[in-house]
Amino acid sequence: MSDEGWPYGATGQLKLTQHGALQISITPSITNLYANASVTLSKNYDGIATNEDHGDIRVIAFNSATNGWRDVPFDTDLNSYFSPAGTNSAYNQFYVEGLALGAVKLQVQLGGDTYAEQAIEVCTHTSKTNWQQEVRNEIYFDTGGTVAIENYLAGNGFMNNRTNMMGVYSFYEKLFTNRPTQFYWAGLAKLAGAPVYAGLSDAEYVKQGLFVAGFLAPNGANIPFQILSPKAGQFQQILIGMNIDIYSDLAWQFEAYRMGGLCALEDIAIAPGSGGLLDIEAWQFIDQGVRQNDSSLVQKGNRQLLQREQRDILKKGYADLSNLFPGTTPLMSVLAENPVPGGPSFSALEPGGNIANYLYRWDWITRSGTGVSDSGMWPLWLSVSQSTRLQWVAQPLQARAADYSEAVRLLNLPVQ
Amino acid sequence: MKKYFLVFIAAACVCVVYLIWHYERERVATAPSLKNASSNSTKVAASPVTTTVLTAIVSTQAVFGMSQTNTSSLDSTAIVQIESLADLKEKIASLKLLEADKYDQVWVSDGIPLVFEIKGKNDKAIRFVADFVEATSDPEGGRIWKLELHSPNMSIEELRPLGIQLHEMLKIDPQPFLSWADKVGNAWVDSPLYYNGEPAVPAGEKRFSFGVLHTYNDERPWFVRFLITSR
Repeated sequence: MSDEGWPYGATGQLKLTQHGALQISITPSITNLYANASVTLSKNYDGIATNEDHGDIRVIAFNSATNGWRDVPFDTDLNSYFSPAGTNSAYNQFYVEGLALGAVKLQVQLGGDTYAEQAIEVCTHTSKTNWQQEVRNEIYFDTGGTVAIENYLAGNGFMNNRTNMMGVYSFYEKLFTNRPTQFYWAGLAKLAGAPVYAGLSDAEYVKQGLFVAGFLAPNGANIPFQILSPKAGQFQQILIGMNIDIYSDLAWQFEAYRMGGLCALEDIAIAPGSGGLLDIEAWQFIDQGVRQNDSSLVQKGNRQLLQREQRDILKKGYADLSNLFPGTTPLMSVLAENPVPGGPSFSALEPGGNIANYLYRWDWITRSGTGVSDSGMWPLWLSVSQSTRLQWVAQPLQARAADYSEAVRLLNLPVQ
Repeated sequence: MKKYFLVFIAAACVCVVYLIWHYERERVATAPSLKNASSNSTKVAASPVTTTVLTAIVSTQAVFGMSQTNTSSLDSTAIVQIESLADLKEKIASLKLLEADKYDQVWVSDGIPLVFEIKGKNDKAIRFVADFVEATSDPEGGRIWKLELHSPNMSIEELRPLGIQLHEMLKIDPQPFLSWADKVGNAWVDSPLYYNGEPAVPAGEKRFSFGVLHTYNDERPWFVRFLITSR
């Protein structure tokens, strides 16, 4: 929200609550400036929503000296309610929570029938770092305090990171579930987590020596466990590193858009030193599509986010995974299964292709075919109904991973 | 227990056969071939490696410019100013259409080393080797509004001089980059990434920015993603 141009010297400032709800603070109290002025907030003002993600709109009075607060009934004349001599005089700041993003008009009654109106754009101006902190907080609260995502480090290995990974994928699931017609990328990301998790779990069995018995050597000769085990660990470290990089690159962008609107992202995109931090054009497509109710624009923007992930993060990662060791191949084949149920595997759609090759992989993802067997995962993902998408995304990560695991398929070992 | 062991051995034998087959299939697949495009899909494939290199000058004031030459004999007089996709395609033979829709066209060249000469606001030119190029144009395939270059994998020792040059070219303080480089070294695992670039520019002007991202390779853990946008 712009804090400039408020009438008669008052200033406004937007803040976020701990749970992400929007707040507008009006500071200093207008009553301190104009003896006959009052501030009245009503549900009927333009742009005020009553059904935001985090609850209905409400007005809160705040006592900065004691950090105390209380709800204020709607249509309250703040001047009289919090008069200097009244019982609520200690409350010197007012907040409005639950405002819809976008244009809002607030009205200040100056006395009698004289009003001053101020149209504002609800937006949050803060940094990528702060948005990332918001995501961390949300994952922490959503998991009942069990996942501190700052501990999600590739160096900690797979077994120690399992709950962190689940926390990340649950966050993607939440993003998609909350906005299934906007955040297509997040839903597909949740689905893609299953083969990734399966690959990591299988690699853990290789690492532990339970799933090798020499068969990973292409010529049938035994590969000493002492060589194979660290390679499997390296495979896991790279895959987890890629997973963390995707999360670090994109999760905060969704949070910023969800909580702060397009302008929150545009604000970061134009900041000095922000080079390449985000693909603002993708979000402009999404936002335009949301405003115009045009799903093709929303999907175009999401597809650009997918391309960013594949091009800037996974392109190098896949190449390094494939060069790791000949034994990487079976683990890569897990990743080459289609995360969209029923969709063609990489080898089915790209016979002779190499999944580490970005161009082949992008074709596998995006090809428009005539049916399920010759279509890429993105058009398949979009082709099913919203209820089907929601149903797929709601399935637990580990349960879906079992459908992709070689250890489950060949040896009936459980997903770890 | 014995029963489980027999099952395990049997399964392992199946796996040996499967993995040999899989390995052979991938070995054959390392030389991708061009595919035929169908009416409703865009298909691309890696081009064969050539020794062709490309020199480009990108002006912050104006346009993309490039000429085809050898890295050992850069000839700035041969530079051709380029702004359109047609000009770019003429200079980069390996450029392939990745996808097109009613909003834009995306063209890529992947796996072929190209040498760009990038010119900054202070007229300082640097050489930038890219093994991945992506150009995004308007839907008619006319004006390019985004050009993305990826450097090959680099060690921190290789990255440091390029990073300094990029900062100098863009007239921004390299100290944060140097501090970052000192901190991360060649350890990519759980190391932060680095981003910098020009502040916002007026609409229609080109904006240069870059990021240093992970390659996940222990010897050369970094690559530079260089971006030129104008919209």
